[in-house]
Amino acid sequence: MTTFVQAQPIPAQPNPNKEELSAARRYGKVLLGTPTNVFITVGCVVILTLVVPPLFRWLFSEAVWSGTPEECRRAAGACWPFIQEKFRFFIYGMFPLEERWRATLAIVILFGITGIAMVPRFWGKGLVLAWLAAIVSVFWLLLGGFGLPPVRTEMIGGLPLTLLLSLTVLPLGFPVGLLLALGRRSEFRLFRWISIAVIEAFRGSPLVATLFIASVMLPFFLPEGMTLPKLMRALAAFLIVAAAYIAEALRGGFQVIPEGQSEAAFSIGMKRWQILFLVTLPQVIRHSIPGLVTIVVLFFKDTSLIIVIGMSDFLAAIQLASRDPAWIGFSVEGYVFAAAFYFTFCYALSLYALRLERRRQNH
Amino acid sequence: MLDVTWRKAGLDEAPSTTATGLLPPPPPSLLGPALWRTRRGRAVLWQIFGAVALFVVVLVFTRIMYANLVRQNLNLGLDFLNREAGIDIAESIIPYAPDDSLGWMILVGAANTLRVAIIACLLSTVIGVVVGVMRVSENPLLKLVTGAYVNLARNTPQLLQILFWYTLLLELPVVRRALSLGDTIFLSQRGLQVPALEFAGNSAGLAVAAAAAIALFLLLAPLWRSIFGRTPHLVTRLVLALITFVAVAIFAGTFTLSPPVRGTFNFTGGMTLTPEFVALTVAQSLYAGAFIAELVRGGIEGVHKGQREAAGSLGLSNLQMLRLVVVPQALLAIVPSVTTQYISVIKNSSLAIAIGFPDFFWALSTTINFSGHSIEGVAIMVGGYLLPTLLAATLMNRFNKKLVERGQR
Repeated sequence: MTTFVQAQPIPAQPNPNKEELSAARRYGKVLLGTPTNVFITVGCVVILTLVVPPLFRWLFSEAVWSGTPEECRRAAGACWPFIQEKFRFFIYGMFPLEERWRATLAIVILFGITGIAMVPRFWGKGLVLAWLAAIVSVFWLLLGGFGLPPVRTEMIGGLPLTLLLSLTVLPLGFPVGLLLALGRRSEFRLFRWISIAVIEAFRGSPLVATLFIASVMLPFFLPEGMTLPKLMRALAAFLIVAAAYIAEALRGGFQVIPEGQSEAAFSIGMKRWQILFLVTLPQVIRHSIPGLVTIVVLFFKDTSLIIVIGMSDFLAAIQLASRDPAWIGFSVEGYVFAAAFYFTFCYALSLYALRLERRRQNH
Repeated sequence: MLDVTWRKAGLDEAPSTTATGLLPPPPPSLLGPALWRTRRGRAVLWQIFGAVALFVVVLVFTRIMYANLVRQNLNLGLDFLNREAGIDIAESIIPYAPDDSLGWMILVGAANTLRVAIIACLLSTVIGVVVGVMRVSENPLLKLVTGAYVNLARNTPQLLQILFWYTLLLELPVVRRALSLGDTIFLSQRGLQVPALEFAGNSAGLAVAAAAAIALFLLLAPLWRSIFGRTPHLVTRLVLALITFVAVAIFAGTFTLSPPVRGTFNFTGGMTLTPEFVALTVAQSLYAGAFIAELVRGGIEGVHKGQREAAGSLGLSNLQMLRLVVVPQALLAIVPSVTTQYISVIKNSSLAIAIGFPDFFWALSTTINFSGHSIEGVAIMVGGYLLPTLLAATLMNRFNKKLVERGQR
């Protein structure tokens, strides 16, 4: 009887479930592998050929890049001289000509501090102070006073207004939002009810209506002889709505922190406020940052709604510019320009929020 | 352990143990420990303090408001709702004339808002589900197309989208050169012209149709049971009965289908959907649809991969796997967030004001400007918007609870 013993090692076989395909083969399989995929691919190609070439022609090849409105009317494509001509108006609105450097500086400061705040390494007490300094200096630059010639609030428009309302509302609304979130978690029934009522009322009613209500109702609650400029009324409305949204974002963060942490902190003798500010809150904020960034995106887009109370932000400035009799009929170009601007900023922020979210889940 | 015991006892400091022996402990008070020494007592004190503060704030502001009202010679009351509106409204689904009251005008606005919101909710759900499922596909081209739509719609202001669609619609050809779909649906500067159902006044046909529908509703259950072996769902029965009703009514000549006919300057027959309405509905549906698509995608991707593999190894087909394994679990995750989307559709209809569509918000702001009764008008506005919001939230929560229960069974 002979026994057979394998003397040579068997060469490794490729995993049958994980075929190593070349990139071309892999794409071929996904695009045209099954009848369904062929159908989907053909459908997509048809849609793309219907949409992309005309869009490209309108945007670029048949567009007018410089010239007069008459030349634009003769051409089939987009009219970009309109944007060039009105660019300064889009940015500055009605801001006084000789003071425009102040608006520019305010824009730079607001974009700069937002950029810095996005770097996790800078998160800390210093950033809070920097934010406060930035907000104070932006208000000073835009409104004037204290050495600068004052600017009437009705003159503030265009990009500075959009940024002022969207980027400062979050840090300004944060303390109120935190109070509401704490109130909602409070063991005192009265505080809980008030917080829930405020949060739900402002999240439940449309921002347009809140703005309108603020601009109509706030004067009723001011003592005789005191007036509040429209800008401040709008700011107040945005602030309280932002606070309601922030409270909801923070609530999610609070729910994640295990109860044992504050019990442990209590047992080593920390006072309640110490537990909140030193143990719970830092973690809650870290957890809520993606949600807070989403709120910034939301407000960046929704600032455009102040058009209903007659203020002109970036989008409203574009709409106003397209009513110029010399350049009538080019509002679509203006809207495309606005869309590109908003998309760049919001998409970047959304990607950032997504990255933070992923990072948090990996930890 | 010790800390927890005294915390449970309601004291906030551990009882001092060092001084024992020197002095006898003070006798316990007959009323128990002082109010501010216990957690419960402090809770009561804090709440009393809060209530007083709230009362003072409300009192101060009410006084200021009252003084302002007196100074401006305004008086509160809802009488102004009976005043004649005197404004014409371009479109309404309930009858309206300029000499109707302001209150009626507000109702017309509310009906318009609801019409937009309901259609936009339905359309955005369809768009969202279809695009969301497509987003999970492996096909890179499909991913590119749907991704472009979703990101573009989510990252630009809704107001901008509404204005964009409105401007595009106004740049469409005039009636004579309207784009048409088989000569039954027209798209022109005047909006969308679609065939309409018109009541022809034949009430006998209506009765027959109603009888047929009721008969079907009653007979369907036993018939269905004898064929398929199980009772049909109530919704199925209702939908089938409704379809029967409409079909029989059209067949019996109660309703006639009136197709639009192209004239030189305008259409005759059919139903006109104005550019404002179309722009608002399209923009809302596309905007909310993109958000719902992301929710659907998140829900599907959230179902664990192992679940699909398990379903595959049990021999379920692809469709069965979707229907029995993936969708029920994905729905559980999606429903609460989709509710929020529906609520924002109702809320965001207020952007109609930017293109002059006569909605609820427009009607109220016009009323306030006309009558000067801002306090009452604002109260109606807040109530009007919170009512559907709360209603939708309650309904969807109930649905959600049902889903959760089914999941746990």
